This record gives sequence, structure tokens and C-alpha cells, in this order.
Amino acid sequence: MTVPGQPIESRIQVRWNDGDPLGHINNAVYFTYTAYARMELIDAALGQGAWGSCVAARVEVDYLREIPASYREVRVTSGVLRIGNSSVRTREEIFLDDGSVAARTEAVIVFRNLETGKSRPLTDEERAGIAPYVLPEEPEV
Amino acid sequence: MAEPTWIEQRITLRWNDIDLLGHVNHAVYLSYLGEARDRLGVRALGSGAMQELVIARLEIDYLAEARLSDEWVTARSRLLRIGTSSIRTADEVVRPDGTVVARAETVTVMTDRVALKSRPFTPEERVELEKLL
Repeated sequence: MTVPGQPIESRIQVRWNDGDPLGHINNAVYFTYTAYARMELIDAALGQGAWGSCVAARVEVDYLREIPASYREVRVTSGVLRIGNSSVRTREEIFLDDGSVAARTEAVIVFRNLETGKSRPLTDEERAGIAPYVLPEEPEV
Repeated sequence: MAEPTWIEQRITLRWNDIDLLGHVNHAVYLSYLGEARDRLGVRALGSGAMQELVIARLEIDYLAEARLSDEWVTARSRLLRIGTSSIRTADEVVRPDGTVVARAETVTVMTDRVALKSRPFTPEERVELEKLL
């Protein structure tokens, strides 16, 4: 069930080889976790397989806390910050079990024409599908 | 004696498990199998065992393909033999439709992580392992 303005939530299985010698989840793996949540967001908004027409153009990550390698599962949310002409800006958060945020990402994903590989404007249907996932504006800090 | 039981772990496929051929890349199967073997090791020897068990040999036959549309696979592992300081397991990756996509046999060695050498299983460890045979 979609609640307007709410991000989608994914539970992601942690694998043994997500951990590194520091005993925490390796920084690069955060990209995999958040990409999975983004994929679920796009699939929820536009139907399964829609993710195949998007590519990531930019991802920024703030690492706020370590995720212990002993975790079996993490909770990741993904929502929309802005809908552009041919791209969508999303916000992901990875949560620790105590509810604190382990990492926060912003990503720009671009919709493209699968034949030419070039970016293309979102269709009206796509805009309408994504609109319920637009997050409320955050107060300026 | 009854057949040893499979220890199973369901694995959700990830986007980047898939390679340019549109199927799960062969190398990724090894991490799936590791999840099942970890479970087997933890079941018998406790979570500390994962710090002491290392792989010495792994052979794998790729029998079919898993694709992203399968969404998940089951990795499973069962104990075949207990040696002095190593175990041999049979490990499989199974698609949701029941097809075995990969079949492996692995030798895992108990090590002393300080000396970085293999060490024999203790009698207590052996008792726990034998419960899985």
C-alpha cells in the first residue's frame, strides 16, 4: 500500500562477503544496498521491470555510522526528492537496528530510450506513477 | 543411517549479481554457497566458527542459469565427511522452480587463527558435527 509522501522500505539480506577486515560492511556495498532500494522504488512506482530503462548518473553518500558485519539484514528506504525533465532525484537511507541512520544517499537516475541509449523526457504516466513517492520538503538546516 | 539433511538459506538476487549475459555471474555463485555453508558451520560450531573455517578446495558444476526474474534462489549445504581438521560439504544453488543450477563440493579447514595453521577438531566440535551427518 502506498502512503503518499512516504518512501518505500526494503529489507536487504547481508551477505558474509559484504563485510571487510574492519568488521563492518564495506563502504562500496552501501551502493548495492541503496541501488536495490531505488530499484524497488521505481518498480513500485512504474511496474516491475521499469528499472531497466533507468541509469544512475550521480550518487552521493554520507557515511554516518558503521554497520556491523554481524548484521543479517538492513532496512533501507528510498523516496523521491524531485522529478526533473528526464531524471529523478532520490533519497535513500540505511538504518541500524536502533533506528539510527547509518548512511544517507542522494542519487540522480536518468530515464533513457533503450534503442538509442540516450536520455529522454519522462512520460506523463511515469510522472503520475512517481508523484506519490515525492517526499515532503525538508526544513532548511 | 539417514541421508544428511540440507541446511538451507534463501538468497534474494541483487541487480549487480547479473552479468552481461543476463544471468547470475558464475563467480557470484560462490558467495551464495558461502551463505549456506556459513549456516551449516554456525549450526554445528556456533558463530565463532566463521572466524576459524577457511576454504581449501572448491569444485563446482554449472548446470543451468539463474536470472534476475527468478528473484531469489536457495543455497543449501550438507555435510558429507568429517576429517581430522576439515569437513567436506555438498553445496547447491536451487532455483525457485526446483532446478539445481549449480552443484559444488567444498573442503573447509578448521584453523588456528593465531598460528595460521590447520588444527584438528576438538572432541566437542566433532560431536556437534556428527549430529549433521
